[in-house]
Amino acid sequence: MKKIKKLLVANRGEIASRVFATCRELGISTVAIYSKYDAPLLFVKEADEAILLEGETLKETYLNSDRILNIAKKLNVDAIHPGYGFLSENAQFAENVLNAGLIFIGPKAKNISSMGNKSESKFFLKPLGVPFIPGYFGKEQDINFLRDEAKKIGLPLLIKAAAGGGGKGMKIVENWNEFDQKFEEAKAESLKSFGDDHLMLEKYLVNPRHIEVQVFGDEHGNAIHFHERDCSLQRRHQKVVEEAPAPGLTQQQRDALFADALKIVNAMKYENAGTMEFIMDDKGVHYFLEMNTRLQVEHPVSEAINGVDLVKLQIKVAEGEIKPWEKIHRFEAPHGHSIEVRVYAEDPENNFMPTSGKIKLLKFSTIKNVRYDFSYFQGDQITVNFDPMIGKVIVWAETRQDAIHKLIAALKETVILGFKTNISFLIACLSKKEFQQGLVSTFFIQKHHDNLMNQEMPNELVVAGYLLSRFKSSSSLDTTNDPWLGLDNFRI
Amino acid sequence: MKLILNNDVFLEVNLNSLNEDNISFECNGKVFNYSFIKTDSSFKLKSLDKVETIIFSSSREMTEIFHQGKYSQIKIASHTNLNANDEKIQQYEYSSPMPGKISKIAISINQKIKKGDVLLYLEAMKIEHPIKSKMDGEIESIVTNVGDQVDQGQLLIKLKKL
Repeated sequence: MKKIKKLLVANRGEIASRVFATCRELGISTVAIYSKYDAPLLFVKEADEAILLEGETLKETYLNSDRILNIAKKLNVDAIHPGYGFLSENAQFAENVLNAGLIFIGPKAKNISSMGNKSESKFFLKPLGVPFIPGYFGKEQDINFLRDEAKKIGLPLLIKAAAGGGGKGMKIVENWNEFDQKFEEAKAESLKSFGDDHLMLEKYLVNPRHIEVQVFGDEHGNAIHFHERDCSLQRRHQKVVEEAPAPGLTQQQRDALFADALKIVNAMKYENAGTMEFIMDDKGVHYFLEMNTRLQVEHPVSEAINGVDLVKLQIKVAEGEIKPWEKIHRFEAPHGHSIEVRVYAEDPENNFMPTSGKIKLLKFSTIKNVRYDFSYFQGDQITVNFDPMIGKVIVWAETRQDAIHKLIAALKETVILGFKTNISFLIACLSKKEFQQGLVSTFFIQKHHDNLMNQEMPNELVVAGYLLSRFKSSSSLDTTNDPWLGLDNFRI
Repeated sequence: MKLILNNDVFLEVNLNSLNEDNISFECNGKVFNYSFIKTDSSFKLKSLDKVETIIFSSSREMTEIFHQGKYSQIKIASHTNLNANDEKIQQYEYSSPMPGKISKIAISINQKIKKGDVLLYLEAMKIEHPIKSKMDGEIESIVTNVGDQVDQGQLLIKLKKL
């Protein structure tokens, strides 16, 4: 067992703040690294020591593993927490940290690399009986051969371009008599878009749901799961709303997910936090998507329903504790319901174009059991260059309905003044009847897109704000010398 | 007074009365009455059937309003975007909203276009963003090329009135 007394977070913004908070609770001293653009942010001030990484690009700063490792060694840091993104799934970095005699808060390098490669992971997982989306991904392109393969997969079926994505060269086949025609169309489109007419076949999942399982392994071969999350509401494969537990699953479906997740963890002898991502079809059958060998952005919803601090567990596991989850208080069964939304600096009505500006005013809701994990605060400047996620809002409530209403109420009270954000889009998603009924899928946002686009705030409210903020009264005409602020019939 | 909302919509506004607790004004011909309570950054507006709290921030140039997740900007309409009797906003110059690459130019010189037509596409953060015209008009000049890397604020297209 090795005690961690000093920890460096190789990350920024809200996740750095989040890790520092747990470190403070455990009496671990903290080190932040930051780029000059992040100098004014709160996470820099929260750490006991903060070291500036000179440079413009991510490569020179947050992805500069050598520099970060040197800083860690120089400051006699015991452990490095990589956060999410950046170097968190860089097997070489994990290896280098270990070779430098430091503790990496995460899994072994070989686990990172084996799960990081789609074909390598499939090679390892298939023999375990882990279900994959049925498909044909081979080289044979003869239409008769492929039609036979298609029959094995079943309908509905997706014909995909092997050389690319983005929907080009992708056709859905819903009955057999259209297979040949769709095949030829896909071939032509693929050749036109990618210069390559190789096709793949895959089972088409109707109303697919993105369901993931939070897992943990210790260094002694023990493993546990912390139930599931549903992250179906996505836009361009970016998660927007996440919740735990997943609505509408039977216990049988859940147990099947947990069984597969733990099967993988045990086979890999996986250590520390991880997430198994699955895609579930409308019949409740799940297929393996990928494994994320790190802590995820949406971990707070699992913390809420399990009553645990996952970062604390990560640190305990890294210190070598045996089954640390048994020594901390946690709920046996999922308790209540938790939902998280990601707040972005973007304009949903304008193609979700990123927005920028200074946060002139920031106010959080004071409703109970509302958690804010934010990277930016009042006075901070958002630029279009950086990650547009401003922060996350997470609620916990006794039931899913209560959680939805609480989150809507909290979002209505959350103030970010200075530029457009997606807050009213988030409120629209949560307010949608289908969401409240649990009818979620990865097509949700696309399907309801036009309804989710907002009605602007009523003109009269904006006008009232304008007049009230500029005029003292209608009786005194000379409130100002500025000709633009008069209130008579001044015409231009 | 003529106000412009979100650089997009004109509002004809007249202030009827205002004292420490009540305001009455006309907006595009419709009358609105509120009683209000002011704090340093918000107004609680009470009308016959509801209560709304709006958050505000005012500078010389404009007032920013925030209400239940929505954000708006409003200011006095100036002569550069106003044309006597004109209901529509006149925006003649279009610059890049963020750093990126011009992936497609959808118009040509002297082409007549309508409000809402796409002028060009800017590729940024792996997404193609359409830049649309805010007025009916004619393309006067195109000061960029497909493939150009542009900065935020860089001028791209100039329009002129029909």
